Amino acid sequence: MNERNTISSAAKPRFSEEALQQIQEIYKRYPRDRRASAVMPVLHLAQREFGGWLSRESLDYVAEVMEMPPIRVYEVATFYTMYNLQPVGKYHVQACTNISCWLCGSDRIMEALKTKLRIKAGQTSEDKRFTLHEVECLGACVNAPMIQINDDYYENLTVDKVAEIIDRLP
Amino acid sequence: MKIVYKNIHLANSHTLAVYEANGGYRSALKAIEMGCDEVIDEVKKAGIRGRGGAGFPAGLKWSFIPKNDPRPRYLCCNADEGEPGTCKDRDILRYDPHLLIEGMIICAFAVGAEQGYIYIRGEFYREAERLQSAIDEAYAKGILGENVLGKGIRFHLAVHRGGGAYVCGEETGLIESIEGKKGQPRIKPPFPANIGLYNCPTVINNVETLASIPAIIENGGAWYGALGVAKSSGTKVFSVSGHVNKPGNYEVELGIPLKKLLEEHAGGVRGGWKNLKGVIPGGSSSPILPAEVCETITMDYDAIGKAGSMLGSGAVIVIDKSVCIVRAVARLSRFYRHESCGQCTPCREGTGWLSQIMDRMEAGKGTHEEIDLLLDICNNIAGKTICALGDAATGPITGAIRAFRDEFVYHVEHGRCMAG
Amino acid sequence: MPTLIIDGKEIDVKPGTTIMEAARLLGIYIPHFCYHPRLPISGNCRMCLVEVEKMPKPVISCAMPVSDGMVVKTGSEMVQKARQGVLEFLLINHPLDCPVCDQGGECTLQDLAMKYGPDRSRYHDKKRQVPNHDLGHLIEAEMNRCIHCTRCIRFSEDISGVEEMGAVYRGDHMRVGPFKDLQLGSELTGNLAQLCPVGALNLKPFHFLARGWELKKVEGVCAHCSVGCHVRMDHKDGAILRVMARRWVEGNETWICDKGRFACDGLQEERLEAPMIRVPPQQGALRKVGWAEALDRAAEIIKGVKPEEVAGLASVAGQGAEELYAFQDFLRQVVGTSHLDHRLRQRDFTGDAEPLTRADLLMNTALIDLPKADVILLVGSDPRFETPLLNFRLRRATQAGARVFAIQPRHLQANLLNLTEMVVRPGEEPRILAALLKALRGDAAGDVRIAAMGEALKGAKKPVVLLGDHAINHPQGEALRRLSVAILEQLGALSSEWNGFNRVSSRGNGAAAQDFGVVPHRGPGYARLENTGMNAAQILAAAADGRIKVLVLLGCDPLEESLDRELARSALAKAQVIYLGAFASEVTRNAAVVLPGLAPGEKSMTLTNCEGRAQVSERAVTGPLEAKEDWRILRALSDRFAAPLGYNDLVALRKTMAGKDHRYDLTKLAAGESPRACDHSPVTLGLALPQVPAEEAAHAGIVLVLEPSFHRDDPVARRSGVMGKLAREGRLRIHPGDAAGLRVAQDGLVRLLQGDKKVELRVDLDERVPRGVVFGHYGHGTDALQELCDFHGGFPRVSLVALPG
Repeated sequence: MNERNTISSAAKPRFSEEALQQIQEIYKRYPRDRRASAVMPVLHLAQREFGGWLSRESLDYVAEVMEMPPIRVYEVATFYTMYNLQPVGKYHVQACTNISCWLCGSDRIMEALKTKLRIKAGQTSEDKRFTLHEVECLGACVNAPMIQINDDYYENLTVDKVAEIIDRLP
Repeated sequence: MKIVYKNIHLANSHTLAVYEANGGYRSALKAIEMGCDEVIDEVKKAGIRGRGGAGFPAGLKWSFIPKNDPRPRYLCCNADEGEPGTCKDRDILRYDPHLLIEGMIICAFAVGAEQGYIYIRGEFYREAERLQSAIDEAYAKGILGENVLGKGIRFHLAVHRGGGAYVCGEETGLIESIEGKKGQPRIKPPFPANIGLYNCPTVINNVETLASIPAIIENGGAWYGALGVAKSSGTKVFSVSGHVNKPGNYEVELGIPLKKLLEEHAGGVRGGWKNLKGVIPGGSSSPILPAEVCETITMDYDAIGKAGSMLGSGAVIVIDKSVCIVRAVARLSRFYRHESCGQCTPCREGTGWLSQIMDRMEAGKGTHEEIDLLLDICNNIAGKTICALGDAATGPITGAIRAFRDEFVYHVEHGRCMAG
Repeated sequence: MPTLIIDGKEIDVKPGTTIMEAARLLGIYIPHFCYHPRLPISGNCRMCLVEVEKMPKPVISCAMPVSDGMVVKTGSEMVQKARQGVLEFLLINHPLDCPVCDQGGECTLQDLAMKYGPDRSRYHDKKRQVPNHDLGHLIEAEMNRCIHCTRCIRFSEDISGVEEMGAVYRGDHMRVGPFKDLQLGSELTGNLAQLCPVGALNLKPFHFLARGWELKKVEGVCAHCSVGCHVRMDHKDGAILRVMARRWVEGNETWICDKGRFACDGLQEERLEAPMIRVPPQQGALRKVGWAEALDRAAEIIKGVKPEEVAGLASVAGQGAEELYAFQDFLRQVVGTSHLDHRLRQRDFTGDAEPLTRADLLMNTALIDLPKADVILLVGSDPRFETPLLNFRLRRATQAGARVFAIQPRHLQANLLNLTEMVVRPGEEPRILAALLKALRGDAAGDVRIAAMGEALKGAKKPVVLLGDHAINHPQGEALRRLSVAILEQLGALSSEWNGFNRVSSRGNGAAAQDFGVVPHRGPGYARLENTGMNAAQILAAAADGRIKVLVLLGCDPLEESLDRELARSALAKAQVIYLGAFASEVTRNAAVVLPGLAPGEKSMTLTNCEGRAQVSERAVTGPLEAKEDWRILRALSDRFAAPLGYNDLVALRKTMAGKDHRYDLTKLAAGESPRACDHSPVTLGLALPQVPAEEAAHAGIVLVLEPSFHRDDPVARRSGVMGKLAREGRLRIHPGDAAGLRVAQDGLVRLLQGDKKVELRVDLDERVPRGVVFGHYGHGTDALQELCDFHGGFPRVSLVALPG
């Protein structure tokens, strides 16, 4: 988890008009005087807008847009593992290795991914296509082993299937 | 008997059309006609206990919401399904979201909540999409909103996605997370029924619990209470994973013998019953039951409690004889260290220490003293933390040392696993 | 009233009391780290676990409310085991660097580890390494030592309102801090180090200076502003090395501001070490001489002119009531002049004609009652930087729901909640208050903002009006005062149950100067005088044109402190100056006689705070060898005259003072106790209200407003290196729009012109400043903006030119 323990820097980001509208919609979900509730959905949105990860500048920008003290945004962004504080590749491959997946051979899946992507866990491929992470239980245990690539789950995997899935990615 | 999974095998079961065609939202109407107190009474009669893991009686929880309190009340659905081994709620979320929405409408009506949030774990992105379209459908048809089902009741519902933190499955961690903070659990008392979301009275229930409510209203609390066994009424979904031939989510009446669950529903233990080493009966934090206990134990709250473990979330993790228990526990210890929120001392420092020792133990670099040190550290964590995560972190270790101490000793003495 | 038993002792407590608080009442100490009586409870350290009968698990006593019949054990085997466990957890990742830790010897973790900790570690893995951030000039971070108690985080959220501290990441990777290099920006920053139970957050100026046990500790009262916070002065080898907050429930609770804590290094700078006179007299250079020679020369100078040609000006910053009393006594009784004053920045002296008393000039709402206020009206007041610990009480009121309205020439940098600001053109304040008064009396207010203010005030049960420095030194200062009184009278808020009238000067001991008549029109104890003298403005004018020939200055530097620097310079050039005080300056370098006095911390002194509480601050260190208590110098000087002062020691002096004003009868107070707040008669009613023009007059030019500087506005702070690092003085604050019009950027140089006077300064662009107005601090050195001010002309109008460079 060490490389996730630092925040990288990038140029100052800007939300698109559409995103700013979405933020207004997000605010409506929560009581008017509880705008801070929107920080997680806004960070999720920011991550999508800004290339799949959140730089220090992005966090400061979210704080500015939401009129929150930056530290409160840092706290949230660093507490939850889904906020990527380092750049990630086009495909963020997250392999579950927790108990159920492990019992069903996630070690082999992990090995297959490393071989296939030619990176270690925590790394991003040179062509910036893939980032690989070993993650905790993703809640698909009866279909173990499984991986998540960006928003999608791939379940009941075998070593062969993994290779096929990777090959089929556009 | 299928209650929460009754629709999931239907084609397009997630749509409002299919849900309504199968009797959907009639329980909500019935509940509104019954009145709040009557609804709570029926749920109490049903005896349904929280399906998220703690097993607290749902009706009782609802009745704690103060009456005649001027503050708004909130209903939160815990869909943070994160206990390793557990994936039962996911099928409700993606295949029968309206069942959950209906359960929430009934609960909200009963406790007087006008705003609900479904806190869904962030990784369930597609499930959240499903849920959102179901909510949109319900708003469009006047099932949610300012005039629920035309009955003059207000109930708004929103999805709040988590961000990857197991501890947000703890109800006050979940509240903090909806408030836009780190999911660090609160000290209790006060309890959420009095000071919950935005410091207002709040009910928090698991997806499966809420999805059981429409059937309870439809058929009556007594009907539900008659299912299952004493103090463990109704049905429960067991997520059976690991070394079985047919892993899957199985909804059965509580009190089913574990052996029957595994053999009749889950296709039997890989390599036959004799190949069974042990079963983690209620999610990763429940202490492992060795094979001889699994022979006879029934799947209900009391029986498993008596055996020194917990029914928890109903995640049944089956482990066969090929597995090194030390390695399995080391993996789980890593998980708890990773998921500790860091707030209170015993959990923050203790989970790290446990994981470091377990890693060394697994690598064959542990000592005899450290086996007892593990137990002592567990003792110093358990019951001394703000939330149950500390206790949860100790369950796998104390359970494993109790049942399989010889494997730990073997690791110390031989520097490698006893199993394969 | 729940009754419970703790360790076999029974106690009744209020419902809602926690076990920890109940145990404290019984004198039972329950060890803890994260619990702090003045911070929100977080319950995270788990050190305070106790056993409660019938509860299966130990409970944290800091958060668990008591219930009737509870039986608590704080020392049972279960509790001991739990404490040992927690201690061990805290220590596994804590570095073994006590020998080089500033906190060593006064560290809660060290103390409790002695008591409950294991004598050897069972932890054999690597200790955690945590990176440190640069937190600025006041706090030195060593975060490996952090035990994650979150006191600092709760302090910044709840008390200072500057949310900079947090905890990032989670689990055993959790890190406390601002998560980046950051000059911590609160005026209460130093408290972070004091409340840190370990050596994670340390006082940077004190870093490695001394070990706790080497320091001698003396209880004192802070002299830097008028709140009079209770402090402890820690000294070694004759120097005060750090100042810590002392608990004072009715005042500063357990906090002090950064000036009170860190300005003490200023005590070492520019000290007057020996008496000096000019040799030969008049034209010669200053030479160090013995006391007798210096006093003889001073007496000779005073005797060389008529009594009415002598005048005295006192500073209230750093002067005790003792020297203020002796000063007026000397001038009036020994010399025989009535010309004396301490109000060097006041423009409006019309109030002197009325028999105003203490209630009209100080606070009438005790600090401890301020949080009960429901509507607060700030008039020309920036409480956060004028009187930080008073502001803390206002913030408490707003946290409980109070609304605040501020009538101000600029936006405040406030940490108050529910704040509605009404920024008005300087000079317009009386018109606004008059309109507000009319609205309260039922007339329709034309301005919706005034109407809203009026509505809120009408609905208030406990309204408070607070006049600050800007109002006090306003050209219509007395009008503002009377209008405020009238508003509260209209609201029925001047009664003995609730008196909401408060006039708060930020300057140290102004209340004592009022009490003892260091003003031309009143004697000690608010006695009316037959012969009134000249006020500060008149004295300087008279000195400048030769009518006053001798100026006796008590700690007073008119170049720094007076409103009109040009006038002060002429006065000092013309008159013979006898200077009595602690610090060297341009004034002492040009004085005829210099008599070295002592600074706060070096003398036992009575400081009277904004609520009118006379509190004694004791001596911690001795000061320069030859320097003497200021009142003793006056006493010795008086021996050269026909009727010397009648007190030879401190006890006799204080007895005399108590005879003039009963509130100074300190013998009646139990040791360490503080006198009653707002112990004075009601506010004077029935004074004529001023005529205020209904319309805003058209103005040309840019208005210049001067404000006291938080970091630099007293002789000690002005010389403090630490304060110097924090200060942004010598800057002109200007609206970015005006700056753009002038084509001047941030840090650019401008010239301010007024007639033939000019001052050149660098600018800070500041959105809080309205267009058409510029703000500066009462400055020092060559760029002092008082060059452009005078006592009579209202707020100066200036023109601005951008300069290259």
